[in-house]
Amino acid sequence: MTKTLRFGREAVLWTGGVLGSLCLLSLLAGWLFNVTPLVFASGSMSPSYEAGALGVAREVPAADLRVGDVVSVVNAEGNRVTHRIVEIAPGGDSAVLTLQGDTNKVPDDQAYAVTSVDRVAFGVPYAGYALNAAASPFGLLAGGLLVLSALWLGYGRRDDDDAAGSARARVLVPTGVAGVVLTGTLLGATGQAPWAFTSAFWTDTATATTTASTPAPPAVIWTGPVNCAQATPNINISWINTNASYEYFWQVQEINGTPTVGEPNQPSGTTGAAVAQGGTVSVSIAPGGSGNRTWQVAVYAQLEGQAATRTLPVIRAIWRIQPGGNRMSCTAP
Amino acid sequence: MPSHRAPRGSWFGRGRTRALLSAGLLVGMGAVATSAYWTTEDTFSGGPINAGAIHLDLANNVRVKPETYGWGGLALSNLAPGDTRAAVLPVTNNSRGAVTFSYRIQASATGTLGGALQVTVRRGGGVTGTTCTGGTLVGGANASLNGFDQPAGASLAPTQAHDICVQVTRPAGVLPASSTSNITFTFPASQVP
Repeated sequence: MTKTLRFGREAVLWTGGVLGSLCLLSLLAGWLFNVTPLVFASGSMSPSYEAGALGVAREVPAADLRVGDVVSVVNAEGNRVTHRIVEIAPGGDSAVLTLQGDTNKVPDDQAYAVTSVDRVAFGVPYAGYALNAAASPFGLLAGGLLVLSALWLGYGRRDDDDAAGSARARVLVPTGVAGVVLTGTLLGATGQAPWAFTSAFWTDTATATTTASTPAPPAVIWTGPVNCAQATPNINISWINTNASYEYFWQVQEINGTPTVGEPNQPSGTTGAAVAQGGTVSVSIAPGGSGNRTWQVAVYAQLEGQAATRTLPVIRAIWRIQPGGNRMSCTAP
Repeated sequence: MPSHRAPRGSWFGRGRTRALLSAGLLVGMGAVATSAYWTTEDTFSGGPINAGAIHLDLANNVRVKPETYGWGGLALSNLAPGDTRAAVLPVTNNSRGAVTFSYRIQASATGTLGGALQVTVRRGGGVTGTTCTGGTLVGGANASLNGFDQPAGASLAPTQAHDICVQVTRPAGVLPASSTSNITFTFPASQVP
């Protein structure tokens, strides 16, 4: 046997042996310690776990979880999601988790109710690529060839074999291989294998904004100065009706905008429904009450009969009652 | 005299132990292959590992993050009772790498006016006059705009785009004049395997 051949033989045996042992160990660790290896399929947990990292997760009860832990859950679509906990709503044995990828701007829209969950303990960069390649059809084929080569090298006919041992191996080895493959197939079919390929998926969000508004009411356009003739006790104000579908609500107010109470005699009213477009709307406010008071009058436009369409009023003048309470005035106090 | 344990020419025995251990690989491979290729148990989807980045962009934006688009195209000022307005907003997958995503269409609106507004969303639709036509209706027609939250109903592969036609109606009814409402349409996207 040449040196090259010997080296090749050793390489195949060692590679097969080490990979096979790792495989068996991870299966054992999965069953005994609830450890699950996870492949990060996207960069949504970058830079803690880049795409292609292999995370090692261990199942822990919900009570042990803290905000900031990276956990792996299965979402409603049946896909594994590995993201960081941003909020925990505890509820006895279970907890409702809100998760978010580190590079994602928004949390996952699903909340996950869990009683126990796989928490990522550490990650190995790039190792996921290797595992992913091994799970591909080509990887499986290469693995199969590796195992067959190792078995052939380990148990194949050798010059120094005795005939009986070789014959035994010819029966035992294929039987063993078939048994092992069957075991693996059963594990996969029943979902008992403790491995998982996780999609630590990305999210993104964009918003479009606009503003809606309802039409403005017609402007109240005063016509002329306030009529404060000394000869009449009433005060008269008037304005143009600029929109036929509107009427006007007027109200005497304290200057802080609250309606007056009990004075003057008629402190508010609605007018202008019958006035044609372009016509003049007038209000005559009669005195009432007593003492010096400072008031304002507010005029609101509203759709006819629909007080709810009132908006901001137009404020006119400053008022007061002359001593004796029988006169209104537009004289500033 | 043949020897069973003669390490003649090899460094660590004949290699039977290693050959046996390598068979362990078959257990794993059997499990992976069965799970990934012959059952619907999606334990190892074994999909491509993707070191790209997701980008859902609106209108002509390209890879904007975070993205808030002032949608002047949907002009909703001076809405009289019964008025309807419509506009199309393209939603594009500008992700780096092979990232396909699904997304939802959400809407919120402030104030009394916002509470009254109704919305009709058509994926792949266009504007005819002041209404959306064609495409696929997303959610119900004339749904309440505030709180609208529906899946778009189709995923976007990289470079693909949907024309999202949004139609907003102010129903008949009394509302204060000069009311305003800030309207926000949100498009949260999630990568799909």
